[in-house]
Amino acid sequence: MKPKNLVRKGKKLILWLLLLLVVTWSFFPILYIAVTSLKPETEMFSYPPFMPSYVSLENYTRLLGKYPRFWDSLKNSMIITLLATTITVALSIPAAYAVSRYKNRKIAIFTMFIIIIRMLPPIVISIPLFPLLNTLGLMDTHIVIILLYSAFMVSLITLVTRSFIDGIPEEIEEAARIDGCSQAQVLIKIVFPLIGPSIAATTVITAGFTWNEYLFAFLFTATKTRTTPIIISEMLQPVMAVDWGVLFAATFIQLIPILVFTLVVQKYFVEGLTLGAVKG
Amino acid sequence: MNPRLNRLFPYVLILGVLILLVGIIAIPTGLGVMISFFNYTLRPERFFTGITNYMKVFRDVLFWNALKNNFIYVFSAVSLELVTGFWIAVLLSQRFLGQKLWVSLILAPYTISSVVSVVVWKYMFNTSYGIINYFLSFFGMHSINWLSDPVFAFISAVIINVWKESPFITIILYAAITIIPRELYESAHIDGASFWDCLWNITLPTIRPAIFVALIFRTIFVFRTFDIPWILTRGGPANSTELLAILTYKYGFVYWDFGRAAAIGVIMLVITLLFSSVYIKGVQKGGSF
Repeated sequence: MKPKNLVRKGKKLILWLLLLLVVTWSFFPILYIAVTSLKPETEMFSYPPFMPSYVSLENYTRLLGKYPRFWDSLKNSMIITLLATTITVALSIPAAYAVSRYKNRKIAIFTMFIIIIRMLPPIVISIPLFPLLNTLGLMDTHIVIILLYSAFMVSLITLVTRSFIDGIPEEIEEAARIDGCSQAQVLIKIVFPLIGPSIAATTVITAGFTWNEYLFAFLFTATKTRTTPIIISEMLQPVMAVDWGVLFAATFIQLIPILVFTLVVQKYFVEGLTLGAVKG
Repeated sequence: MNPRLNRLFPYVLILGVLILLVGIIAIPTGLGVMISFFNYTLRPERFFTGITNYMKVFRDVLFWNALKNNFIYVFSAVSLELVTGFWIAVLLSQRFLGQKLWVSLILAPYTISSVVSVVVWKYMFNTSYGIINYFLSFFGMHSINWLSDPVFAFISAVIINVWKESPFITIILYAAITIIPRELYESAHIDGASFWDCLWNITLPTIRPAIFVALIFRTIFVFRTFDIPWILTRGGPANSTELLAILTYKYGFVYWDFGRAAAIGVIMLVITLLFSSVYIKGVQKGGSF
C-alpha cells in the first residue's frame, strides 16, 4: 500500500475511534438505564457492575404492583404536557406571525419584551407566586402548572415560530390579499398550511420541556398533581434504602417517550433549537 | 373587513401571548421585587422594611458561599460544555457512515430530564458498587467518594451538567459549521493548508457569532441552575453545591422568609439582566445571529 493511503486509513481509524468515544460518553448512561432496569433485584449491587446474568422484568412488575403513585404521576404528566404544549403552540403562532409581518414600534417593543422575559430565572417568580396561589386556593391544581409551563415556553416558541415564518416569502400572502383574502384568511389559509415543520419543531421542544420540568412541579404540585420527575426524585430520596431496580424501571418509562419523540422529529427539533438560539 | 379592525389585527394576534406573559411572569416578577422590600413571612403582619432584607442577605455567609459556588459552577460548566460541544461538532462535521444515527445518540442526553440524569449518574458515582470507580480501579486509582466529599460532589454536579447540556452547543455549532461552503475547505487544501489551519482560519472565524450566542445562552441558563445539584445532594455536603437558586428556595420554602428569598431572587435577576444585555446588544448590532 502507498504510504499516503496508509496515512489516510490511519486518520479514518482515529476519527472512528474518537466517534466511538464520544458516542459512549453520550449514550452509555442511557443504555445503562435500560440494561439496569432489566437486572434481577439480587444483582443490583453485583460487581463488576455490568450486564445482568439474565433479563428480568421483575422491576417493572414491582413498579406496576407497588407504586400506584408512579402511574398516577404518569397520567398527570401526560395531561399537563398535552395541554401546556397545545396552549403554547396555539398562542405562539398568531403572535409569531404578527412579529414577523407587522413591523412597527409597538410590535418591536413586544418582541424585545419576549426576549427579556425569556431570560428571567423561574425561581424569581416562584417566591411571590407561592403565597399568592396559596391565598387563591390554587395550589396543587393542574391549571396552575399548565399555565406556568405555557408562560415559560411561549416566548421561546414565539421566537422560533417567527424565524420559520420569516422564511416564507411574503409574495404568496400578497397574491392572496389581491385575490380578496382578509388578513385573518391569509393567516389561516396561506400561512398555517406552510408552517408544518415549525409546528413539529415547537411541539417537540415544548413537550420535552414540560414532560421533564422539575422546579415548578416541585414547588407547586402536591398529592393530586405530582408529575413523574417529582415521583422519581422522591424514589431517589426515600426514608429507607433506594430501591434501584424499581427506580431504573420508572426512569426508563419516563425517558423513553420523549427520547423517541425527539428522535423521530429530530430534523425539526434541531432546526427549531438552532433558530431559537441564533435568531432569538 | 372594517378598517379599524384591520389596524388592530396584529394586536389581536399577540394578545394571548401578552396576557400569559404579563399575568404569569411580569406581574409576579414585579411582586417579587416589591416583596424584597417587605418583612414578608408566614405571620399576617407585613410591613415595609426598606433594604433590610438585602442587608440581611449581604451579611449572610451562606449567600456569599452560594454566590461563589454559583460563579464557579457557571464558569466550569459553561467552559467545559463549550469545549466538549465544540469538539464534538467538529468531529461530526467530518461526516461518518450512519451520520444521522450518531447525531441522534449524541443528542440523546439533551432530551431527557435532569431527574433521570441524576438517577443514573448517582448510581454510577456510587463509591462501592458504581461503575465509575470500577473503571478508575483499572488505572490503579482508589475509590473516590464522589458524592460525600464536598469538592467531588461539586465536580459530580458539573459533570452531569456538562453531559446533559453540551449537546445543545454541539447542535448550534454543528449547524453553523455545516453551512460553511465546502469549496472554502477544498481550495484551502489545494493550497496546502492542514486540518488545523482550516479549523483556525476558516471554521473558527465563521462560527464565532454562533459560539458567542451559545455562550451567552448557556451562561444565563446555567446561572439559574437548581435541579441537578438539588436532586443530587440537596446542596450538600456542607453547602458545597448550594447555588443561588437553591438558597432562594431554602429561604423561601424551608425558613418561610419570603422577603429575604425575594431579595436573593432580585439579585439573581439583576445579574441575569446584565448577561442578557450583552446578548441583546449583540442582536441589535449584528442582527446576523
